[in-house]
Amino acid sequence: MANENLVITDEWLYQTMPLIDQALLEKIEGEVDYEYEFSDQFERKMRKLIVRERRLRFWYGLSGRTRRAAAIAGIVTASLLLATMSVQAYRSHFFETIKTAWEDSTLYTYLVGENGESESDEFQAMVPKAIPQGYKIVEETKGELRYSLLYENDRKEMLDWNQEKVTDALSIVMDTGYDWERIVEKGGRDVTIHGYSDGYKAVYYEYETYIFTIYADNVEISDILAMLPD
Amino acid sequence: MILTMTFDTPADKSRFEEIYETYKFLMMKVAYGVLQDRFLAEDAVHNAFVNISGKMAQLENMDETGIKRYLIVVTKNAAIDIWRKRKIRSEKEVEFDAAGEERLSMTGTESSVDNEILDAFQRLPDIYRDVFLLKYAHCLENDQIAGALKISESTVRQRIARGKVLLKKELEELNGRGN
Repeated sequence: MANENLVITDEWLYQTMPLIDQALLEKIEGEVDYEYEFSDQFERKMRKLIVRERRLRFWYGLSGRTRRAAAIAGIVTASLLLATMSVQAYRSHFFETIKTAWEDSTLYTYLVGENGESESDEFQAMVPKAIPQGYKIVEETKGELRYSLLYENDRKEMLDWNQEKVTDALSIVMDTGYDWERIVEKGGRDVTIHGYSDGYKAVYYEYETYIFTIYADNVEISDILAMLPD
Repeated sequence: MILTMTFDTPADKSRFEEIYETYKFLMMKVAYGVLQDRFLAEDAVHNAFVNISGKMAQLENMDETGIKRYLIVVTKNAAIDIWRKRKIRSEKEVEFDAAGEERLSMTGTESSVDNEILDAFQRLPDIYRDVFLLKYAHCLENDQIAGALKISESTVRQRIARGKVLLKKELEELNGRGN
């Protein structure tokens, strides 16, 4: 490239950058380890995310009227997936929950009507009331509508605490591949706990205008209940 | 009353799932390059997919190279987020070889790009390189780049303007050295 009157124009960049990118990609791809074995924890989180993406794509692909009708009516069959999807709706003080049960997961979506608005729209982040012994915080993420805390103990067991403000756009997917389900009462509200044979637990809890979910490698039910607000 | 409704939904794998299966190893390489820890790198790859899951429409019209570059940038960003939270290494180290894109010698590569231009480009800080590649190699709009990098559109515009100045300077310096 000539030094004189050097001008970096968009036209030149559009011609040059694809060639640079190709060279850089060739280098990176030559160093990728395609034999790498991802951890079980990663595979489980990704399976959950894939199911969530698939379900949401289908659910939000329906018109609002159809979703409402499905919520009222009860059962929907997705023919090509050969999957039955049963839909149940219930109302809390602040919002309506639409619980859509698929063959491998449960999708929670919400309707926040005018009468269901919370008195304050301000998101109030809540930390666990008690933390199981031996766990230390390793990550905190605070957003406008979401607060999450990640804890870890000396055995590298993780405890993932999530608090989300209920809005019409919120959706939560819970895997149904669990080995047992227990619904426990906490302050007059249901706490749904899904347990797996390896000790892993997933928790769903509705409290005021928030949804709390907890994912833990290995904690007792009493520890879970002690964490939640009432 | 029970009503049964029937819908046609795709039975095949979703595009999201295809991208996951095809590119998870590439993304792991990028995340590991930043974090040097396999578990943290896996977290970064997962976080990158969480980001991508809400933006699948953007990938619909991209060719394979564009998808790769987009995934690399999003993954690198997710990894740097984790690094910042954990503060396990110095910022300087992350700047270097953040995505395994350390200084690349053109010797032995089949690329037709000028050696001098590539060298100058690689001297740019990472933040400018990512924006340049997404915009000029893959024609992403500024708002799409902002979404991928979790920055504002005005920051994207600033990086483009500032990046051009820096690239010009690098090219002039290299050219002056060669003369």
